[in-house]
Amino acid sequence: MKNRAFIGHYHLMLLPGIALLLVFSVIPMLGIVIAFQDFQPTLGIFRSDWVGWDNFRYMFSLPDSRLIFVNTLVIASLKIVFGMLVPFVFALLLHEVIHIKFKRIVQTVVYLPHFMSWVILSGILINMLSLEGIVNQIVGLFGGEPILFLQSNSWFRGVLVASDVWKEFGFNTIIYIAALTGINPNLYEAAAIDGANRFQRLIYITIPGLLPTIILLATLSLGNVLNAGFEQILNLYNPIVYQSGDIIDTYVYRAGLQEVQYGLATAVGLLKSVVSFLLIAVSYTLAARFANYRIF
Amino acid sequence: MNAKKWLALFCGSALLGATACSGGGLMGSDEPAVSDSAQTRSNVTGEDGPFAKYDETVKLTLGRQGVSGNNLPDGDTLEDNEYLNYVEKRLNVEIGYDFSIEDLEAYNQKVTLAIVSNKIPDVMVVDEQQFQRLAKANMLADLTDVYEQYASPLIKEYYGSYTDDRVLETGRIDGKLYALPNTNIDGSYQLLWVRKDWLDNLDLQPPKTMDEVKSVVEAFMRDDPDGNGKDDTMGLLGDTAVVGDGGFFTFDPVFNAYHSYPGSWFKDDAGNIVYGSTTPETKQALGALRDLYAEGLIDKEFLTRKWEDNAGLVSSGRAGILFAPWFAGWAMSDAVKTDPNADWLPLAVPLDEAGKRNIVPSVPAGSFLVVNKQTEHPEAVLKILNTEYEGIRLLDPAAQELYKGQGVGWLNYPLNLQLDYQDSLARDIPIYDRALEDGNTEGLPERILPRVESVLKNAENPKRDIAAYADTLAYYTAAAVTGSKELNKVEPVFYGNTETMLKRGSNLEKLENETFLKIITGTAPLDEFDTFVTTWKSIGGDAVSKEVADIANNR
Repeated sequence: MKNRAFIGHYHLMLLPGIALLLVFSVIPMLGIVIAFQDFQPTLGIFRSDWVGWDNFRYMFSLPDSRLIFVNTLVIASLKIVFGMLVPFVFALLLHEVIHIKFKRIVQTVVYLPHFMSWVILSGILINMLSLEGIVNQIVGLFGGEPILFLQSNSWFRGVLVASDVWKEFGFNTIIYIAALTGINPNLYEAAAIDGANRFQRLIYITIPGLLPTIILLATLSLGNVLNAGFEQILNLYNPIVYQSGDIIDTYVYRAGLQEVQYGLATAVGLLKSVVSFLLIAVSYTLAARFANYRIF
Repeated sequence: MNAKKWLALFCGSALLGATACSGGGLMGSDEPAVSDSAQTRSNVTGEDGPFAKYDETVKLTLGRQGVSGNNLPDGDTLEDNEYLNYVEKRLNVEIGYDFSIEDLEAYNQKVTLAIVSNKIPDVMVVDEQQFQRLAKANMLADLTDVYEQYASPLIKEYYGSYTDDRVLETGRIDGKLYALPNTNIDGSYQLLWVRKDWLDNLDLQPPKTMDEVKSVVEAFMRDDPDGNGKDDTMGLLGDTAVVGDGGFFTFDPVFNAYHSYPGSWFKDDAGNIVYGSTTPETKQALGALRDLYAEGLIDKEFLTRKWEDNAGLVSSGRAGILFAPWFAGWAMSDAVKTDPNADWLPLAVPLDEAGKRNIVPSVPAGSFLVVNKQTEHPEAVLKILNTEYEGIRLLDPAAQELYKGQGVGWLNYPLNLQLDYQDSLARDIPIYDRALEDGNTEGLPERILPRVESVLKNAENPKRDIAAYADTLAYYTAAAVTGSKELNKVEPVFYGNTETMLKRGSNLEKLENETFLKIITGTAPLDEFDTFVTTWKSIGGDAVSKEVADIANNR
């Protein structure tokens, strides 16, 4: 009995959080009805005309819809793959560093970009990638022709993925390093005594030890397959690279906020939410099965 | 987006300036002395006229946009200030604000709501769509007779200065006047701004034709025009918008030189409605721009540059040739900060093969003063407008004393409707010329004095005072060019939006903008233009054309 009262207090402490969630996430969800309306701000949700599936039909008739879905999928998948691979390798390398101070400094430096906003970073990036920027100067050193990275559909995705990975890998490295410290040192000792060299210890102890973390992160990131990085792309793209870089979020932003096609923008956003919801459900099931990760 | 924001900002300030600096009623013998007749009339009592005072106080309610960043002195408000009181006292009217909302979007929503709920104030300033809705709902007073009888000579002169009555016509429906439109003055098209000192350094003549412009750009890029021994000068600047009335760095003049007018609607010889962006001439102009870009004569990176990046290239002395409207004088003047020798030459070029600089005039009006049908004294609105403009133009000596020397914004007058002569930019030029000749500012009207003083100051000590230099560049040097003799106005058959345009227009615009950029930068072949025309037609262009044709043919 006493125990139950104790739990009750915990629930009470949840209230502010739940209230925030209700006000800022759940109630605004009612706005989804706009996707089925010819929404006029002055008439509001209650007096705007209902148009059924019109907005969706129009969305699929637009030549852009397929493009933005493909772009979103490709960019997000590339980001997920490299966003996991790079920090993993980097954590392994860092783990082997013996000089503690050096290790700490590197760790701090590489995760600094994580705290910078894309508004600032994109300004730096545009400068670096300009015709006279440092990247093209290096290209020039090797006798290459200067490249307009941000105006080229073949380069733009690469720039997006590389810069995103560069920004975030330091932060993700921490997760792997934390997992690495969780591996029992006795195992390494025993292996060393048995004559395993460094590489063998890596293959047979470190990687299996990290596997649950990797699987967990991989499955959970499935829910992000439709999040390709709104802030980054909005600050870096231009009309020429819509073809390779326009994603759902930037499209919704333009259609909804700049061109006041509220109905269309909501319809696109809703479709994205539905797909994302399915993916999160799938990833949760997978995470529960393979990594024993449970919320409920 | 950024460019647009800046454009709006500049347009706003520039037009305010123009409003304050033009009018010209007092100067020159060729212009009728408006104020005299107005003054005498207003003093006659007992007779009804444009300035007649009411015996009994007339009350009017007004819905208006507020004034953001208002610079009224402490204690004065939008509802109680010298400007408003001046109008109220002179006419014995009482103006109450039903609502005043600063944010334009919120204001528009409020107006729309007022329309929908059928509770509009006596007077409002609305946009074109709202005006049409109000007129359709039969909520507006017919101003035809009231205007004839009560509009002051000055107001009539303003409207009368526009060719074919094109401004007032926008306020008419079926021949009846239901709104007083604002007037968009001439001259917002792009000039070619060239660094004069660079031309001189390289011993070049100011360019006239497209080919000459091209060779100047080439020389500016390759021949080290600033003589600093470094290869750091750029070609023609560009903007991702490609075209746009009053836009900075856009390529409109190049299109126009090829008789192409993207974004405007015309009737072809056979009487069909044609959209300017889909004509063969436009393809030709795109081809020319494409060649320029391929040769590196247009800034290779213009797609990634924002407005302020381009402005930075100007002020740092790296860019010396670009397209921008007259009011860009302020942005251009910054180049002097880096290079004291910098000097700009605005030109109305490139000319077409007939030696004409073709332009599409700006949309005649954007906002409309409307009067509620239920209003008892619709003529009071005209009287207020008359009185207000005697005040704004400082024609009435009493009005000259209001907030003297404090620079309080004219928007504090009750009716915010911008009116001016069509050629208001060019018509003041002789005043500057005369003042420069004899250095005498005696007898010049109050409204123009500060600007004349700027010009004189700059003439005496060129480029010392950047603000005076900027004023000179914009109001004198560039404004004079806007009245160029080579101009050829190509009047569209339709301005504004149709229903489909409002609904689907943005996707059409996106397609157009994307295709143009791709063709110019060489990402897509020139023949992509033909595909664009077909796609454009199929995803809504045909529907829009039909709507435009209906409107244009029913006029």
